[in-house]
Amino acid sequence: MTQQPFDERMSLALDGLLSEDECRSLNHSLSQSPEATDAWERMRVIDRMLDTAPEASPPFDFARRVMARIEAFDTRRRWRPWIISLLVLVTTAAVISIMLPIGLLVLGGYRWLLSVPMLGDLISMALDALGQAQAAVLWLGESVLRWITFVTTDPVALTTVVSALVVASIWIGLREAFRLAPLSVDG
Amino acid sequence: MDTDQELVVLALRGDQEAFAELVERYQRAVFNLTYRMLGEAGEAEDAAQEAFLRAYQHLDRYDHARSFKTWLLSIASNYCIDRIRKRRLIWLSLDEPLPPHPALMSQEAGPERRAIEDERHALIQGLLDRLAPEYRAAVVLRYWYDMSYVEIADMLDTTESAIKSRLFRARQALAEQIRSEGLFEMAMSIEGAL
Repeated sequence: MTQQPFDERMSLALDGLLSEDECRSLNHSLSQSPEATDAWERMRVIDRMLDTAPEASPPFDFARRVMARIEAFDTRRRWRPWIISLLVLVTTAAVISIMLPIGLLVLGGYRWLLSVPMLGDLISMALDALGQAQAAVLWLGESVLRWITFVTTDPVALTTVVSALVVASIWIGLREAFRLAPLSVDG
Repeated sequence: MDTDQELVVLALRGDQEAFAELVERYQRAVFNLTYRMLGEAGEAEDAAQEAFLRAYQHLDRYDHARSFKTWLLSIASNYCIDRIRKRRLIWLSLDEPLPPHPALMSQEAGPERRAIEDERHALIQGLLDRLAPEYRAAVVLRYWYDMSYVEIADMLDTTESAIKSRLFRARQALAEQIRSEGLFEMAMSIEGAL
């Protein structure tokens, strides 16, 4: 088994943490092993290089940039309670706007509202108006549907509509041609 | 002149000028640490700014019995260790080192000496970059801040014997590197020339 040339005492010696006896012992070990001496030399070169390496300086406006980040952080910190309050309010409003209709319609809460004087009357009127509007929309939709069905299934009606469209197209075309003709002559 | 502790108290009361004074005092120490840990000026500046910001955010946790500088450097070194662990590991070749930080380039020295210094910088940074972040932190704190094993252990939240072991292993790894890559003669000639 080969002996490891590096020894922890070398590191301690570089930091001046060995006693005189330990230094003597290390020197004795080094004198017995060329590999250990070589390792020790390399460690010393590394130590000298690191020991004399200069300190890096920050850019000239480093402190200003740090303070700008701190200012931005402080601003965020000042606004945070307001933003949180706003978020809580918005969330509460959203929950109420979802839960209230559910409470009124699904759980039957609207019956209690209808029993309230004035408010109940207003809600009834609004519901009546909504019902009538709904009926009108349905009637209009059904009428349009019936008319389309009639036109597309009755040959006479279909011919009449197509003819009317053709006549209208020709008439529009002729009118535009007469309107533009004098311009092209002058032009 | 106010002490660090007095400035911290003022900063805790909302006095930003007091904190600005602390930034002025320790910007060089923090930047040098992040630069030696990360090896690239832009990344080092960002990390140094982050360290100051974190110190400001957690100023109320600062123990006034400790040195403010030590506390600040421990934030910076731990942040750099995390950052190195997270980033994609890119092994830098010693043949193609990053350009040295402008502050490390001597403006007064002649071109020959400047070239040697640049070479030394590239060698040192290239060697440091290959160390595991915990070893690198121990080496940087030992050499650039002249900290004792106990102080380094306190900063990196570990034991004195762990630091003793880390420094030994780091030095061993560095010495092995200069041997295996034939850099020993180069290092010797650089040291001799400076």
